[in-house]
Amino acid sequence: MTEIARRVRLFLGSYVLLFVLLAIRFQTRWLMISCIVIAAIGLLDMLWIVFGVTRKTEAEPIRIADVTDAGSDVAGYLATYLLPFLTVAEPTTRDVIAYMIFLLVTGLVYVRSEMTQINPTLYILGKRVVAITTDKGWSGHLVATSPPHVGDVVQAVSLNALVRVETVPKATPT
Amino acid sequence: MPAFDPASIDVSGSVTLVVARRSGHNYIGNRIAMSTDVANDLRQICQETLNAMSQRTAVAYADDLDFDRESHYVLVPSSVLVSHRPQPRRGRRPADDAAEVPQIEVDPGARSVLASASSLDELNARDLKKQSFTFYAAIVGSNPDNRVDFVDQWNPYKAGLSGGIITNFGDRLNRIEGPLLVFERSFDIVVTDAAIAVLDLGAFEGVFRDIDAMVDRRPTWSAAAVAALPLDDGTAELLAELCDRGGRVATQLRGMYERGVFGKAFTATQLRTEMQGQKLDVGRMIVKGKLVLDDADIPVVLKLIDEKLYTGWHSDTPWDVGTRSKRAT
Repeated sequence: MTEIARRVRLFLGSYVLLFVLLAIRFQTRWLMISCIVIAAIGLLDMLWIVFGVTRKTEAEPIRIADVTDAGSDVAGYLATYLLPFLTVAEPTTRDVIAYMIFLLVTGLVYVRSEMTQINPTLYILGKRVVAITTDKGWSGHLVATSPPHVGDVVQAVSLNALVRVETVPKATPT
Repeated sequence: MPAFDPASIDVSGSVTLVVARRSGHNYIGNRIAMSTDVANDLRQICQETLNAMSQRTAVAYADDLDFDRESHYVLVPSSVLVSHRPQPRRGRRPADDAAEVPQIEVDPGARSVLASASSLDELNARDLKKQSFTFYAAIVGSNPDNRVDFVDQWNPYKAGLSGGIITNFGDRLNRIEGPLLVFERSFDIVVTDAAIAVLDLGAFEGVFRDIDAMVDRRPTWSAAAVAALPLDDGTAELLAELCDRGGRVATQLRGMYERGVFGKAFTATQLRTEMQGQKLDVGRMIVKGKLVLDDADIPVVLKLIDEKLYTGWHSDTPWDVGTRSKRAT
Protein backbone atom coordinates (compact mmCIF):
# COMPACT_ATOMS: atom_id res chain seq x y z
CA MET A 1 0.00 0.00 0.00
CA THR A 2 1.48 3.35 -0.97
CA GLU A 3 1.73 6.20 1.50
CA ILE A 4 -0.86 8.23 -0.43
CA ALA A 5 -3.35 5.35 -0.43
CA ARG A 6 -2.85 4.89 3.30
CA ARG A 7 -3.43 8.58 3.95
CA VAL A 8 -6.62 8.55 1.87
CA ARG A 9 -7.87 5.61 3.89
CA LEU A 10 -6.97 7.34 7.15
CA PHE A 11 -8.79 10.45 5.97
CA LEU A 12 -11.88 8.42 5.22
CA GLY A 13 -11.53 6.83 8.64
CA SER A 14 -11.24 10.21 10.32
CA TYR A 15 -14.62 11.20 8.86
CA VAL A 16 -16.50 8.12 10.06
CA LEU A 17 -18.27 10.09 12.78
CA LEU A 18 -19.29 12.79 10.31
CA PHE A 19 -20.88 10.26 7.98
CA VAL A 20 -22.73 8.69 10.90
CA LEU A 21 -24.05 12.13 11.87
CA LEU A 22 -25.00 12.91 8.30
CA ALA A 23 -26.79 9.56 7.99
CA ILE A 24 -28.84 10.49 11.06
CA ARG A 25 -29.56 13.97 9.75
CA PHE A 26 -30.32 13.26 6.07
CA GLN A 27 -33.85 12.30 5.20
CA THR A 28 -33.19 11.49 1.59
CA ARG A 29 -32.99 7.70 1.53
CA TRP A 30 -30.13 7.21 -0.97
CA LEU A 31 -28.03 9.82 0.80
CA MET A 32 -28.67 8.21 4.19
CA ILE A 33 -27.70 4.75 2.87
CA SER A 34 -24.61 6.16 1.12
CA CYS A 35 -23.41 7.77 4.35
CA ILE A 36 -24.00 4.58 6.35
CA VAL A 37 -22.02 2.55 3.78
CA ILE A 38 -19.14 5.07 3.72
CA ALA A 39 -19.09 5.21 7.55
CA ALA A 40 -19.06 1.41 7.79
CA ILE A 41 -16.25 1.08 5.24
CA GLY A 42 -14.26 3.83 6.97
CA LEU A 43 -14.72 2.29 10.40
CA LEU A 44 -13.80 -1.23 9.29
CA ASP A 45 -10.77 0.10 7.46
CA MET A 46 -9.67 2.06 10.54
CA LEU A 47 -10.06 -1.05 12.67
CA TRP A 48 -7.93 -2.95 10.16
CA ILE A 49 -5.23 -0.26 10.01
CA VAL A 50 -5.04 0.33 13.76
CA PHE A 51 -5.36 -3.26 14.94
CA GLY A 52 -4.81 -5.56 11.93
CA VAL A 53 -1.91 -3.88 10.17
CA THR A 54 -0.13 -3.07 13.42
CA ARG A 55 -0.36 -6.72 14.42
CA LYS A 56 1.32 -7.71 11.16
CA THR A 57 4.03 -5.08 11.45
CA GLU A 58 7.19 -5.54 13.48
CA ALA A 59 7.29 -3.43 16.64
CA GLU A 60 10.32 -1.46 17.80
CA PRO A 61 11.24 -0.30 21.31
CA ILE A 62 11.43 3.45 21.83
CA ARG A 63 12.15 5.34 25.04
CA ILE A 64 10.02 8.42 25.57
CA ALA A 65 11.90 11.63 26.35
CA ASP A 66 9.04 14.09 25.98
CA VAL A 67 5.23 13.81 25.78
CA THR A 68 2.59 16.37 24.83
CA ASP A 69 -1.09 15.66 24.43
CA ALA A 70 -2.28 16.21 20.86
CA GLY A 71 -5.99 16.22 21.73
CA SER A 72 -6.40 19.91 20.93
CA ASP A 73 -5.49 19.24 17.28
CA VAL A 74 -8.31 16.73 17.10
CA ALA A 75 -10.73 19.18 18.74
CA GLY A 76 -9.86 21.73 16.05
CA TYR A 77 -10.37 19.13 13.33
CA LEU A 78 -13.81 18.33 14.76
CA ALA A 79 -14.81 21.92 14.03
CA THR A 80 -14.72 21.04 10.32
CA TYR A 81 -17.55 18.64 11.09
CA LEU A 82 -19.86 21.59 11.83
CA LEU A 83 -19.80 23.01 8.35
CA PRO A 84 -22.02 20.34 6.75
CA PHE A 85 -24.67 20.98 9.41
CA LEU A 86 -25.14 24.54 8.15
CA THR A 87 -27.07 23.10 5.23
CA VAL A 88 -30.46 21.50 5.07
CA ALA A 89 -31.51 17.99 6.05
CA GLU A 90 -32.84 17.32 2.59
CA PRO A 91 -30.07 18.68 0.38
CA THR A 92 -30.55 19.50 -3.25
CA THR A 93 -28.17 18.25 -5.91
CA ARG A 94 -26.27 21.54 -5.58
CA ASP A 95 -25.93 21.01 -1.80
CA VAL A 96 -24.58 17.48 -2.34
CA ILE A 97 -22.04 18.77 -4.88
CA ALA A 98 -20.98 21.46 -2.38
CA TYR A 99 -20.57 18.78 0.34
CA MET A 100 -18.45 16.70 -2.01
CA ILE A 101 -16.23 19.64 -2.95
CA PHE A 102 -15.81 20.48 0.73
CA LEU A 103 -14.82 16.89 1.52
CA LEU A 104 -12.51 16.74 -1.48
CA VAL A 105 -10.64 19.87 -0.44
CA THR A 106 -10.45 18.75 3.21
CA GLY A 107 -9.22 15.37 2.03
CA LEU A 108 -6.63 16.94 -0.23
CA VAL A 109 -5.25 19.01 2.64
CA TYR A 110 -5.30 15.96 4.93
CA VAL A 111 -3.45 13.73 2.48
CA ARG A 112 -0.90 16.32 1.43
CA SER A 113 0.00 17.48 4.93
CA GLU A 114 1.12 15.66 8.04
CA MET A 115 -2.30 15.24 9.64
CA THR A 116 -2.50 11.48 9.99
CA GLN A 117 -2.46 11.75 13.75
CA ILE A 118 -5.51 14.04 13.75
CA ASN A 119 -8.22 11.44 13.72
CA PRO A 120 -11.31 11.57 15.98
CA THR A 121 -12.12 7.95 15.13
CA LEU A 122 -9.00 6.84 16.99
CA TYR A 123 -10.51 8.31 20.15
CA ILE A 124 -13.76 6.46 19.45
CA LEU A 125 -11.68 3.27 19.21
CA GLY A 126 -10.30 3.93 22.69
CA LYS A 127 -6.96 5.33 21.57
CA ARG A 128 -5.26 8.60 22.37
CA VAL A 129 -2.81 10.57 20.32
CA VAL A 130 0.23 12.20 21.92
CA ALA A 131 3.14 14.10 20.42
CA ILE A 132 6.39 12.47 21.54
CA THR A 133 10.14 12.83 21.27
CA THR A 134 12.31 9.78 21.88
CA ASP A 135 15.60 9.77 23.76
CA LYS A 136 17.42 9.44 20.43
CA GLY A 137 15.68 12.42 18.89
CA TRP A 138 12.77 11.10 16.82
CA SER A 139 9.74 13.39 17.01
CA GLY A 140 6.27 12.42 15.90
CA HIS A 141 2.95 11.16 17.20
CA LEU A 142 2.11 8.04 19.13
CA VAL A 143 -1.30 6.40 19.11
CA ALA A 144 -1.61 4.73 22.50
CA THR A 145 -4.26 3.31 24.79
CA SER A 146 -2.99 5.57 27.55
CA PRO A 147 -0.39 8.34 27.34
CA PRO A 148 3.12 7.16 28.18
CA HIS A 149 5.34 8.86 30.73
CA VAL A 150 8.81 10.26 30.22
CA GLY A 151 11.30 7.40 30.50
CA ASP A 152 8.80 4.71 29.53
CA VAL A 153 9.85 2.18 26.91
CA VAL A 154 7.07 1.65 24.40
CA GLN A 155 6.88 -1.07 21.77
CA ALA A 156 5.47 0.69 18.74
CA VAL A 157 4.90 0.01 15.05
CA SER A 158 5.13 2.54 12.28
CA LEU A 159 1.90 3.74 10.73
CA ASN A 160 3.91 6.14 8.59
CA ALA A 161 7.07 8.22 8.92
CA LEU A 162 5.59 10.45 11.63
CA VAL A 163 3.03 8.30 13.41
CA ARG A 164 3.56 5.17 15.47
CA VAL A 165 1.03 2.94 17.16
CA GLU A 166 1.74 1.43 20.55
CA THR A 167 1.51 -2.31 20.64
CA VAL A 168 2.23 -5.01 23.16
CA PRO A 169 5.24 -7.28 22.71
CA LYS A 170 4.23 -10.21 20.59
CA ALA A 171 5.29 -13.80 21.06
CA THR A 172 7.93 -14.81 18.55
CA PRO A 173 7.97 -18.19 16.85
CA THR A 174 11.01 -20.23 17.87
CA MET B 1 39.12 -12.37 25.23
CA PRO B 2 36.01 -10.54 26.43
CA ALA B 3 32.79 -12.17 27.52
CA PHE B 4 31.15 -12.81 24.18
CA ASP B 5 29.18 -15.98 23.90
CA PRO B 6 27.17 -16.32 20.68
CA ALA B 7 25.13 -19.11 22.23
CA SER B 8 23.84 -16.81 24.96
CA ILE B 9 22.47 -14.13 22.62
CA ASP B 10 18.70 -14.10 22.41
CA VAL B 11 17.20 -13.06 19.07
CA SER B 12 13.54 -13.34 20.04
CA GLY B 13 13.04 -9.62 20.75
CA SER B 14 11.82 -6.83 18.49
CA VAL B 15 13.73 -6.29 15.25
CA THR B 16 14.51 -2.91 13.72
CA LEU B 17 15.77 -2.88 10.15
CA VAL B 18 18.20 -0.11 9.30
CA VAL B 19 19.92 0.87 6.06
CA ALA B 20 22.82 3.33 5.97
CA ARG B 21 24.54 5.26 3.24
CA ARG B 22 27.55 7.51 3.13
CA SER B 23 27.08 11.24 2.90
CA GLY B 24 30.54 12.80 2.78
CA HIS B 25 32.40 11.36 5.75
CA ASN B 26 29.23 10.61 7.70
CA TYR B 27 26.62 7.91 7.67
CA ILE B 28 22.94 8.64 7.18
CA GLY B 29 20.78 5.86 8.55
CA ASN B 30 17.11 5.14 7.94
CA ARG B 31 14.68 2.76 9.50
CA ILE B 32 12.49 0.56 7.32
CA ALA B 33 9.14 -0.64 8.63
CA MET B 34 8.58 -4.30 7.89
CA SER B 35 6.02 -7.03 8.33
CA THR B 36 6.45 -9.63 11.03
CA ASP B 37 7.14 -12.24 8.31
CA VAL B 38 10.24 -10.40 7.17
CA ALA B 39 11.26 -9.78 10.79
CA ASN B 40 11.01 -13.50 11.51
CA ASP B 41 13.16 -14.28 8.46
CA LEU B 42 15.78 -11.79 9.67
CA ARG B 43 15.66 -13.32 13.15
CA GLN B 44 16.31 -16.70 11.59
CA ILE B 45 19.34 -15.32 9.73
CA CYS B 46 20.58 -13.71 12.97
CA GLN B 47 20.33 -17.08 14.70
CA GLU B 48 22.17 -18.81 11.85
CA THR B 49 24.93 -16.18 12.08
CA LEU B 50 25.28 -16.86 15.81
CA ASN B 51 25.33 -20.61 15.14
CA ALA B 52 28.12 -20.10 12.61
CA MET B 53 30.10 -18.18 15.23
CA SER B 54 29.51 -20.86 17.84
CA GLN B 55 31.18 -23.36 15.51
CA ARG B 56 34.24 -21.15 15.09
CA THR B 57 37.06 -20.04 17.37
CA ALA B 58 37.44 -16.38 18.33
CA VAL B 59 40.73 -14.69 17.43
CA ALA B 60 41.84 -11.23 18.49
CA TYR B 61 41.66 -8.49 15.87
CA ALA B 62 44.63 -6.94 14.13
CA ASP B 63 44.46 -4.85 10.99
CA ASP B 64 46.89 -7.18 9.21
CA LEU B 65 45.42 -10.38 10.59
CA ASP B 66 45.53 -13.48 8.44
CA PHE B 67 42.65 -15.62 9.60
CA ASP B 68 40.76 -18.61 8.32
CA ARG B 69 37.13 -17.57 7.96
CA GLU B 70 36.04 -21.20 7.86
CA SER B 71 37.26 -21.89 11.38
CA HIS B 72 37.69 -18.47 13.02
CA TYR B 73 35.82 -15.30 13.71
CA VAL B 74 37.44 -12.08 14.84
CA LEU B 75 36.60 -10.56 18.19
CA VAL B 76 37.11 -6.90 18.99
CA PRO B 77 36.48 -6.12 22.68
CA SER B 78 34.60 -2.88 23.30
CA SER B 79 37.28 -1.96 25.83
CA VAL B 80 39.84 -1.40 23.06
CA LEU B 81 37.54 0.43 20.66
CA VAL B 82 38.29 4.10 20.26
CA SER B 83 35.85 6.36 18.52
CA HIS B 84 36.71 9.67 20.16
CA ARG B 85 39.50 12.05 19.31
CA PRO B 86 42.49 11.78 21.68
CA GLN B 87 44.94 14.68 21.65
CA PRO B 88 47.97 14.01 19.46
CA ARG B 89 51.30 13.79 21.27
CA ARG B 90 53.72 16.68 20.82
CA GLY B 91 57.40 15.85 20.40
CA ARG B 92 59.17 12.53 20.90
CA ARG B 93 58.06 10.01 23.50
CA PRO B 94 60.31 9.97 26.61
CA ALA B 95 62.21 6.71 27.04
CA ASP B 96 60.56 5.97 30.40
CA ASP B 97 57.02 6.74 29.18
CA ALA B 98 54.65 3.77 29.41
CA ALA B 99 53.54 2.32 26.08
CA GLU B 100 49.96 3.03 25.04
CA VAL B 101 47.30 0.38 25.50
CA PRO B 102 46.54 -1.33 22.17
CA GLN B 103 43.42 0.15 20.64
CA ILE B 104 41.28 -0.17 17.57
CA GLU B 105 39.91 2.93 16.00
CA VAL B 106 36.38 2.93 14.63
CA ASP B 107 34.35 5.50 12.80
CA PRO B 108 31.73 6.60 15.37
CA GLY B 109 29.21 7.14 12.57
CA ALA B 110 28.23 3.50 12.15
CA ARG B 111 27.83 2.92 15.89
CA SER B 112 25.77 6.07 16.18
CA VAL B 113 23.37 4.88 13.46
CA LEU B 114 23.01 1.50 15.14
CA ALA B 115 22.51 3.00 18.62
CA SER B 116 19.65 5.20 17.46
CA ALA B 117 18.04 2.62 15.17
CA SER B 118 14.46 2.89 16.48
CA SER B 119 14.56 6.67 16.33
CA LEU B 120 15.95 7.05 12.82
CA ASP B 121 13.76 8.61 10.17
CA GLU B 122 11.66 6.07 8.35
CA LEU B 123 12.50 5.41 4.74
CA ASN B 124 9.63 5.46 2.27
CA ALA B 125 9.70 3.61 -1.02
CA ARG B 126 9.53 6.88 -2.91
CA ASP B 127 12.67 8.10 -1.07
CA LEU B 128 14.76 5.19 -2.34
CA LYS B 129 15.47 6.77 -5.74
CA LYS B 130 19.01 5.75 -6.68
CA GLN B 131 20.45 5.44 -3.22
CA SER B 132 23.42 3.19 -2.70
CA PHE B 133 23.53 1.81 0.81
CA THR B 134 26.81 0.84 2.46
CA PHE B 135 25.25 -1.59 4.86
CA TYR B 136 22.04 -2.78 6.42
CA ALA B 137 21.50 -4.05 9.93
CA ALA B 138 18.93 -5.90 11.99
CA ILE B 139 18.91 -4.55 15.52
CA VAL B 140 17.42 -7.15 17.81
CA GLY B 141 16.02 -6.81 21.32
CA SER B 142 13.03 -5.35 23.10
CA ASN B 143 15.10 -3.45 25.65
CA PRO B 144 16.54 -0.32 23.99
CA ASP B 145 19.54 -0.42 26.35
CA ASN B 146 20.52 -3.94 25.48
CA ARG B 147 20.04 -4.60 21.79
CA VAL B 148 22.30 -6.63 19.54
CA ASP B 149 23.21 -5.38 16.08
CA PHE B 150 23.60 -7.74 13.13
CA VAL B 151 25.34 -5.88 10.35
CA ASP B 152 25.86 -6.82 6.71
CA GLN B 153 27.96 -4.84 4.26
CA TRP B 154 25.56 -5.15 1.38
CA ASN B 155 23.30 -2.81 -0.53
CA PRO B 156 19.83 -4.37 -0.38
CA TYR B 157 18.71 -2.05 -3.17
CA LYS B 158 21.44 -3.32 -5.51
CA ALA B 159 18.95 -5.22 -7.64
CA GLY B 160 16.85 -2.09 -7.98
CA LEU B 161 19.86 -0.12 -9.15
CA SER B 162 20.87 -2.68 -11.76
CA GLY B 163 18.37 -1.28 -14.26
CA GLY B 164 17.24 -4.77 -15.19
CA ILE B 165 13.62 -5.82 -15.50
CA ILE B 166 12.61 -7.67 -12.35
CA THR B 167 9.95 -10.31 -12.82
CA ASN B 168 8.16 -12.96 -10.87
CA PHE B 169 7.64 -16.34 -12.55
CA GLY B 170 4.28 -17.56 -11.32
CA ASP B 171 1.88 -19.13 -13.79
CA ARG B 172 3.40 -16.61 -16.19
CA LEU B 173 6.15 -14.01 -16.04
CA ASN B 174 4.92 -10.87 -14.30
CA ARG B 175 6.77 -7.66 -13.85
CA ILE B 176 7.41 -6.75 -10.19
CA GLU B 177 6.39 -3.17 -9.63
CA GLY B 178 8.00 -0.98 -7.01
CA PRO B 179 11.46 -1.09 -5.48
CA LEU B 180 12.92 -4.47 -4.63
CA LEU B 181 15.13 -4.99 -1.57
CA VAL B 182 17.20 -8.16 -1.41
CA PHE B 183 18.89 -9.32 1.79
CA GLU B 184 21.71 -11.83 2.19
CA ARG B 185 21.41 -15.16 3.99
CA SER B 186 24.00 -14.23 6.63
CA PHE B 187 25.33 -11.25 8.53
CA ASP B 188 28.99 -10.20 8.56
CA ILE B 189 29.23 -8.59 11.99
CA VAL B 190 27.54 -8.90 15.38
CA VAL B 191 27.78 -5.93 17.73
CA THR B 192 27.04 -6.25 21.45
CA ASP B 193 27.87 -4.02 24.39
CA ALA B 194 30.87 -6.22 25.15
CA ALA B 195 32.39 -6.73 21.73
CA ILE B 196 32.19 -6.67 17.98
CA ALA B 197 32.34 -10.16 16.50
CA VAL B 198 33.31 -10.35 12.85
CA LEU B 199 32.86 -13.10 10.29
CA ASP B 200 33.98 -10.98 7.36
CA LEU B 201 36.99 -8.79 8.09
CA GLY B 202 36.51 -6.81 4.89
CA ALA B 203 33.02 -5.85 6.01
CA PHE B 204 34.32 -4.67 9.38
CA GLU B 205 36.97 -2.53 7.70
CA GLY B 206 34.40 -1.18 5.24
CA VAL B 207 31.61 -0.38 7.67
CA PHE B 208 33.42 0.62 10.87
CA ARG B 209 36.90 1.58 9.73
CA ASP B 210 36.61 3.19 6.32
CA ILE B 211 39.87 5.12 6.11
CA ASP B 212 38.27 7.80 3.96
CA ALA B 213 35.78 8.60 6.71
CA MET B 214 38.32 8.83 9.54
CA VAL B 215 39.70 12.20 8.47
CA ASP B 216 39.81 13.59 12.00
CA ARG B 217 42.06 10.80 13.19
CA ARG B 218 44.78 11.10 10.55
CA PRO B 219 46.77 13.86 12.29
CA THR B 220 46.92 11.68 15.43
CA TRP B 221 48.45 8.76 13.53
CA SER B 222 50.99 10.84 11.65
CA ALA B 223 51.92 12.77 14.81
CA ALA B 224 52.54 9.47 16.62
CA ALA B 225 54.85 8.32 13.82
CA VAL B 226 56.70 11.64 13.75
CA ALA B 227 57.20 11.39 17.52
CA ALA B 228 58.54 7.85 17.35
CA LEU B 229 60.82 8.09 14.32
CA PRO B 230 63.97 10.16 13.66
CA LEU B 231 62.54 11.95 10.63
CA ASP B 232 63.98 15.11 9.16
CA ASP B 233 61.54 18.04 9.00
CA GLY B 234 60.78 17.62 5.30
CA THR B 235 60.04 13.92 5.69
CA ALA B 236 57.84 14.58 8.73
CA GLU B 237 55.81 17.06 6.68
CA LEU B 238 55.61 14.66 3.75
CA LEU B 239 54.47 11.82 5.99
CA ALA B 240 51.74 14.00 7.51
CA GLU B 241 50.67 15.09 4.04
CA LEU B 242 50.50 11.52 2.69
CA CYS B 243 48.55 10.44 5.77
CA ASP B 244 46.16 13.34 5.31
CA ARG B 245 45.38 12.14 1.81
CA GLY B 246 44.16 8.84 3.23
CA GLY B 247 44.85 5.65 1.31
CA ARG B 248 47.78 3.31 1.85
CA VAL B 249 49.99 5.39 4.16
CA ALA B 250 47.05 6.36 6.41
CA THR B 251 46.03 2.70 6.65
CA GLN B 252 49.59 1.66 7.49
CA LEU B 253 49.98 4.37 10.12
CA ARG B 254 46.61 3.57 11.70
CA GLY B 255 47.47 -0.12 12.01
CA MET B 256 50.89 0.60 13.51
CA TYR B 257 49.43 3.20 15.86
CA GLU B 258 46.78 0.77 17.07
CA ARG B 259 49.28 -2.02 17.61
CA GLY B 260 51.45 0.24 19.72
CA VAL B 261 54.38 0.28 17.31
CA PHE B 262 54.85 3.98 17.89
CA GLY B 263 54.97 3.36 21.62
CA LYS B 264 58.68 2.75 21.07
CA ALA B 265 61.22 5.40 20.08
CA PHE B 266 63.29 4.19 17.12
CA THR B 267 66.89 5.38 16.69
CA ALA B 268 68.74 5.98 13.46
CA THR B 269 71.26 3.29 14.50
CA GLN B 270 68.53 0.66 14.90
CA LEU B 271 66.99 1.59 11.59
CA ARG B 272 70.33 1.65 9.76
CA THR B 273 71.11 -1.90 10.88
CA GLU B 274 67.70 -3.22 9.85
CA MET B 275 67.72 -1.33 6.53
CA GLN B 276 71.14 -2.79 5.68
CA GLY B 277 69.76 -6.24 6.48
CA GLN B 278 66.89 -5.66 4.03
CA LYS B 279 69.22 -4.20 1.38
CA LEU B 280 67.58 -0.76 1.38
CA ASP B 281 69.52 2.31 0.23
CA VAL B 282 70.71 3.40 3.68
CA GLY B 283 73.13 6.02 2.40
CA ARG B 284 70.29 7.90 0.73
CA MET B 285 67.61 7.31 3.35
CA ILE B 286 69.57 8.18 6.49
CA VAL B 287 71.42 11.49 6.43
CA LYS B 288 73.03 12.98 9.53
CA GLY B 289 71.13 10.64 11.83
CA LYS B 290 67.71 11.47 10.29
CA LEU B 291 65.45 9.59 7.92
CA VAL B 292 65.21 11.47 4.63
CA LEU B 293 62.49 9.78 2.59
CA ASP B 294 60.48 10.45 -0.54
CA ASP B 295 56.87 9.43 -1.38
CA ALA B 296 57.90 5.95 -2.50
CA ASP B 297 60.23 5.31 0.45
CA ILE B 298 57.71 6.06 3.21
CA PRO B 299 55.45 2.98 2.77
CA VAL B 300 58.55 0.77 2.49
CA VAL B 301 60.20 2.13 5.64
CA LEU B 302 56.92 1.89 7.52
CA LYS B 303 56.75 -1.78 6.51
CA LEU B 304 60.32 -2.24 7.71
CA ILE B 305 59.44 -0.75 11.09
CA ASP B 306 56.28 -2.88 11.19
CA GLU B 307 58.41 -6.03 10.72
CA LYS B 308 56.83 -6.81 7.38
CA LEU B 309 59.99 -7.00 5.30
CA TYR B 310 62.27 -9.98 5.60
CA THR B 311 64.69 -12.01 3.54
CA GLY B 312 64.16 -15.69 2.89
CA TRP B 313 66.84 -17.63 4.77
CA HIS B 314 67.69 -19.99 1.90
CA SER B 315 66.33 -18.27 -1.21
CA ASP B 316 67.54 -14.81 -0.21
CA THR B 317 64.22 -13.47 -1.54
CA PRO B 318 63.22 -10.05 -0.21
CA TRP B 319 59.68 -10.83 1.03
CA ASP B 320 57.00 -8.23 1.66
CA VAL B 321 54.31 -9.42 4.09
CA GLY B 322 50.67 -8.42 3.68
CA THR B 323 48.69 -10.31 6.30
CA ARG B 324 50.13 -12.41 9.09
CA SER B 325 49.19 -14.39 12.13
CA LYS B 326 51.20 -14.82 15.27
CA ARG B 327 52.49 -18.36 15.67
CA ALA B 328 52.28 -20.27 18.92
CA THR B 329 55.64 -20.44 20.68
